[in-house]
This record gives sequence, C-alpha cells and structure tokens, in this order.
Amino acid sequence: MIFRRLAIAAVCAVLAAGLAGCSADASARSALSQSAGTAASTARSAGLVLGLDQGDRLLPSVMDTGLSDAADRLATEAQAVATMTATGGIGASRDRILADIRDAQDEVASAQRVSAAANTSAAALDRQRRTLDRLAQQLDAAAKRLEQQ
Amino acid sequence: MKGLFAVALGVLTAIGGFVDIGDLVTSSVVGSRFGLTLAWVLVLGTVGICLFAQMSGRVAAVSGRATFEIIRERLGARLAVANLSASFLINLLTLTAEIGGIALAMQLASSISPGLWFPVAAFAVWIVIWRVRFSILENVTGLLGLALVVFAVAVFFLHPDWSALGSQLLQQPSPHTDESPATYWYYAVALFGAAMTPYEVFFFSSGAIEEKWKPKDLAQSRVNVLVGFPLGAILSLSIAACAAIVLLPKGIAVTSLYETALPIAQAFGKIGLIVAILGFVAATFGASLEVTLSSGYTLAQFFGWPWGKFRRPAHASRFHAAMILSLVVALGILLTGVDPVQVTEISVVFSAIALPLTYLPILIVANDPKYMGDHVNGRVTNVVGLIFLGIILVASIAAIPLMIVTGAGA
Repeated sequence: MIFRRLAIAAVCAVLAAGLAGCSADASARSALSQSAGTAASTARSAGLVLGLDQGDRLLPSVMDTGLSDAADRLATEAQAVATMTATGGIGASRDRILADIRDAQDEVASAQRVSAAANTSAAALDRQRRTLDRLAQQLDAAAKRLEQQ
Repeated sequence: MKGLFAVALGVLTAIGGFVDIGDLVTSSVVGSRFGLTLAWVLVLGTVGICLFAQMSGRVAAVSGRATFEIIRERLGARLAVANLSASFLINLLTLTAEIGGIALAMQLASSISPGLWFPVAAFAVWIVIWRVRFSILENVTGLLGLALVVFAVAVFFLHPDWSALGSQLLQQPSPHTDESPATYWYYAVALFGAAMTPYEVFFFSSGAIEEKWKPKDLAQSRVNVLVGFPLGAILSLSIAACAAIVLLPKGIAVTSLYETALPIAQAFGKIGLIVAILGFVAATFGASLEVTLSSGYTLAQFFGWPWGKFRRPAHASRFHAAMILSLVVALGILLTGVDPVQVTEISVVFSAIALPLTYLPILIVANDPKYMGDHVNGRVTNVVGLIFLGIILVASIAAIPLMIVTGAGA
C-alpha cells in the first residue's frame, strides 16, 4: 500500500516538474519573443527617424529625442535578454537576438555621433537606416519563430 | 453678435481642450497597433462624456452648486468618500501623466531631458493657476490646442488608401497585426477610459460655477459639449489615423510621444512638426491646469472649504493648498524616474476602473427634483445614461483582469 502511494507521489512529482519545466520554457520563449518584437519596433522607429532626417523633414531636437529614446529602449531590451535564463534551442535564439539588438544599439549610437557632427554624412545615415531596417526584419522573424514554436 | 462670439469661443475651446496626454498617447498607440479597428470605442466614449458632462453642467447651472457638494449632501458621507477617493487618486495619476506630457513635449522642442522639465512644468502650472483669470487660462490653452488640427489635415496629405482605412473601421483586430483579442480589449478599455476621464466632468461642473452659469446659459453649455467635444474627438481619431497610415504598415508600435509626431513630419516636414509640438504643449498644459483645478475642486467641495478661482487665493487658502500638494505629489512621482508614457497608459486604465464611482452619483443627482426642479433628466437621457453605466461597469470590471492577462498591453 505504502509503495503504491509512494509511486503515485513520484509520478505526480515527475509530472509537476515536467509541467513546471514546460511552463518555464514557454514563459522564457514568450518573454524573448516580446523583447525581440519591441527591439524590432524600436529599430524601425530609429530607421524612420533617420529617413525623415535625410529628407530634411525633421527638427534636430526631434531627431535627438528619437535617437536617444531608441538607444535607451534597445539598452533596456538588451539587458532583459542578457539576463534571461534560457537553455537548448531557446538559448541559441537568445544569443542571436541579443547579437542583433547589440548591433542595432551600435548603429543608433553611430547615427547619434554622425548627426551630432558638424558635417553630417548623408551616405552614412542612409547606410545606418538600411542596417537598422535589416536588423528589425531579423528580430521580427526571430520573434515570430519563437511564437510559433 | 456677442452671444454668437461666446458660443464660437466655447466650441473652439472645447475642441482644443478635448485632447490631453491620455488621448495623444492612447490614440497613437492604438492606431499604430490596431489601425482604426478601435475607432468605435472613441465614438462610444465621446457619446458618454458628452452625456455626463452636459448633465453635470446642468446640475451646476440649475442648482448653483458644483456636483461634488451635492453628491455629499444627497448620498451621504460614506458614498461620497468612495467617490472622492477614487476621483482624487485618478486625478493625481492623471496630473502626473499630464506634467510628464508637458516635459516630453518640451523635450521635442528643446532636446533637453524631460527630467529637467518636470519641476519647470509643475511650477508653470502653479503660477498660471495662481495668477491668471479662469476664463483666460481656459480659452488660451483651448485655442492653442487647436494646433492639433494639423493631424486632421495630415490624414489627407498622407494620401492613404481610403478604402483600406475605411474597412478597418468595420474590422476586428487588423490583419496587419498579430495582436491577441485580450490585448485588443485591453486597449478598448484604455481608450474608453481616456475618452471619459473623470476630471473633465468635475472641471466642467465647477467651471460652470466659476463662470456663474444660470439656467439661461444651458443652451450654450449644450452647444459647447455637443458640438465641441465630438469635434475634439475627431482630433483623437485623426491622431490614430495618422499612426495607422504611417506607423502600422512599418511595424512601429508607439511607445514615446515623439513617435506620435513622426506622421506629421512625413506629411508637412519641419513646419508641421512645430505646429504639432505647439499643440502637444498646449494640450498637456491645458489639461494639467484642468486636472490641478479638479483636484482642488473635489477636495474643497467635499470638505466644504471655500473654493474657486473667482475668490482671491487668501480667501480660498485650503483650495490652493490642495492644488499645490497635488502638484508636489505628481512631481515627486515623476522624479522617481517613472516613464511618463507608462504612467499615462496606467492612468487611463485606472480611470476606467473608477468610472462607475464618478458617474453613478451624477446620474442620481441629475434626477433629484429637490436640486434640479423642472430640469431633471428626461426619459431618453436616463435610458442612455443607464446603458452607459452598464458599459462603464463592464469596462471597470474587465480592466484589471485584462491588464494582468496582457501584461498591461505588452
């Protein structure tokens, strides 16, 4: 009798651990997908700011605000992703997403430097805009893959 | 001629004063994430605010007393305390969001960090309330708020696909988005809360006393509300439409005030941006004045203190002290480093939660012949009012579960 109870308890414990593992996995995937989505939106927003500035349609103060806001938000997402516990396949996704977010951070920082310089290089800003759009696409695709898993 | 001018001024002020930081942020967020699929909520909220604003204005004009004074007398201290607590806390949260909104708008004009603008904005609000006449502060900020018409004009200059834009009005979550139904309904509640923010009703009711309205002024008050507010709501709809045209197809979900202005830059360039930023400053500054005054009104009317801008500050010292305290608390919250946009999003949802406590007492008082005489609500007004109370109750109950399920709309 006691063995049967112990066996049931053991099965329950294994099931609970499995469920908790699945739940932790799903939660990590959801958080990662959300961070990737937010970073993609931020990168696109920074890209739009650069595009509008190229067309001479943006006030310098709005350009500054847009780029510094994008830098802050990307830093927040990078921090969130870097401190996320993720293993296996999710771990690899996390590393790719983190690399893309850091690349986007670098592009935004570089755009801030270029726009602050006395002679703004239109070609450099255009290249940064394209890179940000490409990174946004990669981050969006990663977010969608995680959602579908 | 003078009467016509007064009506036109009242309507223009109501249009310009309709939009605040809650409308700016929520409309833009909703437009960038759901297109115009939530426009019906804006229509619903506007009908609701028109209904209850004209009701509370009528109570004030007929009885010569502000709504809060009567609520305490008519419903007793216990229910009035619940009403006061809910309204005052929501006012504080809204005031925090509005002061934050001024700072964000000033950052767009100057590149200076909003943290440095918070104290300046709070001080400017206080000094204007202290020194400037009620009619001037109301009319000037309302008229400057008309600069936001730039969003309505931009909708045409952005050359949208009108049929696609029109079809969004009839759709559930837009096909461009991957948003969940829970997130859709969370933002429906937020948009409803933003349209029906309680301070607007208290300001309207107390403003009627400040401007010494009488029953003969009821027609003008109705025109201000029934023409001015819906036209003001068109500005909110235009902000959502601009975001739906420019930001939604690019996959940019608005999280900052500068993103609200990007469609204007696309449509009109720098000149348009200057007009839009002027509109942002006027809308948030005007709303800050109204919310600060509303905080003073609610406390002073509940406790029976002398109140009103028509009195010299020395004769309404506790009313002014309550406003200063509200500004200090709002400033303290902002200085902790919270994001003003997030405060705004939370304030409109909490506003929705507190709505029944604000609007039920107004409906009860507007039906009491002791205060209203022949001007009690008609049958149609009561039926519509009860339907709205039902909607308000559902929104209020659904708000917190939706907030938890969606991670505050994340």
